[in-house]
Amino acid sequence: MATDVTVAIKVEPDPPAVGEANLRITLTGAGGAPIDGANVRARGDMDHAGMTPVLGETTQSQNGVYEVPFNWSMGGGWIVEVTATLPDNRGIAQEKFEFFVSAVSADSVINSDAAAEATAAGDEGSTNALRIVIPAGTGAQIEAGQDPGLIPAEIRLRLSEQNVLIIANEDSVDHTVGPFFVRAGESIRQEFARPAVFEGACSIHQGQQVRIVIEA
Amino acid sequence: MTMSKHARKLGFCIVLLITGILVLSGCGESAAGAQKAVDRPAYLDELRGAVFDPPRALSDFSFASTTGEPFTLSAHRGEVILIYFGYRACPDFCPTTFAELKRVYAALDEPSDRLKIAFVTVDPERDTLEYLAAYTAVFHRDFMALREEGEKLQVLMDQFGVVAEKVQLGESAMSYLMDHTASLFLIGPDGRLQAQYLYGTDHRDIIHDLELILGAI
Repeated sequence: MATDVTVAIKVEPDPPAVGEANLRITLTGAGGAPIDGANVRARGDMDHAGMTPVLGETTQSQNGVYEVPFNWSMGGGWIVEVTATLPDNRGIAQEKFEFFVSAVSADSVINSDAAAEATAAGDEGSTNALRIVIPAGTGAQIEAGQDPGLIPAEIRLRLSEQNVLIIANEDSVDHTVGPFFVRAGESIRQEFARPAVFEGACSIHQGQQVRIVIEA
Repeated sequence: MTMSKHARKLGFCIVLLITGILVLSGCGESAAGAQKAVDRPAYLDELRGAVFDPPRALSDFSFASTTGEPFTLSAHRGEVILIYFGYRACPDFCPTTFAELKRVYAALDEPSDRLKIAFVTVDPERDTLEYLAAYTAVFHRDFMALREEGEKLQVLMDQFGVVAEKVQLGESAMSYLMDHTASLFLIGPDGRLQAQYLYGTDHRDIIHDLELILGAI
């Protein structure tokens, strides 16, 4: 291993994001002298197992700078190992670098300013509400192994008829109903404007899930 | 999900006691009426998010932040805070939520003096402040991340009903994903939790709500 060689790296774009990228690798020797004529390979592995490594390589350089085409295949933590086989049988220089790659690139559809307009189904005019009341003592019932029988495993609202869901916790303990954590004495009110499906655990159905389905 | 057993009866008793004192002092209905108005801003009835009734009081907290200064909830009275619990290696919910927040923030003309957007990591083991700063900067320079560990983090998560659980991927102790609550939470200018936005809430609904609240500040 060559010990008098410095391996430096810059990524483009910076900060890195999923997609095509360029690794700008600089090799310098003693006194900062640029090193050309090396074979430079980059191997990128994610910081968790199970991902296929990404490889890049070049032998082209100018003033010790090597441009290695690369591709961040996934967002998350990466470790890039650069191995430079030096000219004139000088050996190998190697260095590892860590990066965090965003899962969303600057020009991704998700980041786009283009409007994704769709006519919303249903209107906010309807005020019909489905009201679910968790009465006092429900928590005690559950602790005693009883099923209060309050909430179905699937709550359905049809926007044209009922577009509001109210969960009122009149118990003295907190409860979770699907995606909603409702503290003792608290209510939560959600008015829906578009079809959707929401799921989550339910403290009233021990160990089970509740689905909230909003239909047009 | 966890069912918390913390009772709020003491909090309610204190509120009732204060209201009772105002009545007995001769301030009468006007004081009680004013108290009710403070307790429940009128715009809550028009929000499209899931609205808490009453708005949920939150214990003050102070977390290290990527701004370089600690973020203390009580120091931000008069501002709106959107808070999201996630982690930087999250492959889906977190980046998509923040991409939507970037859109929301731009639509509101980036009101940095009145709106704070905070990302609280549920993976402090891997998420250093340096890494978090690089993460939020991808979306907007004004977005911040907060980091705390252990009991302090759990206490904050419990207040929101947020859960997070490791899902091990491989043999390495660092190889895991986090299953976590994916809702966005809105803390109003009064420092109380006023609304929740389920994952997948249309950004137009969030913009609508923020315009109402920011217009009332």
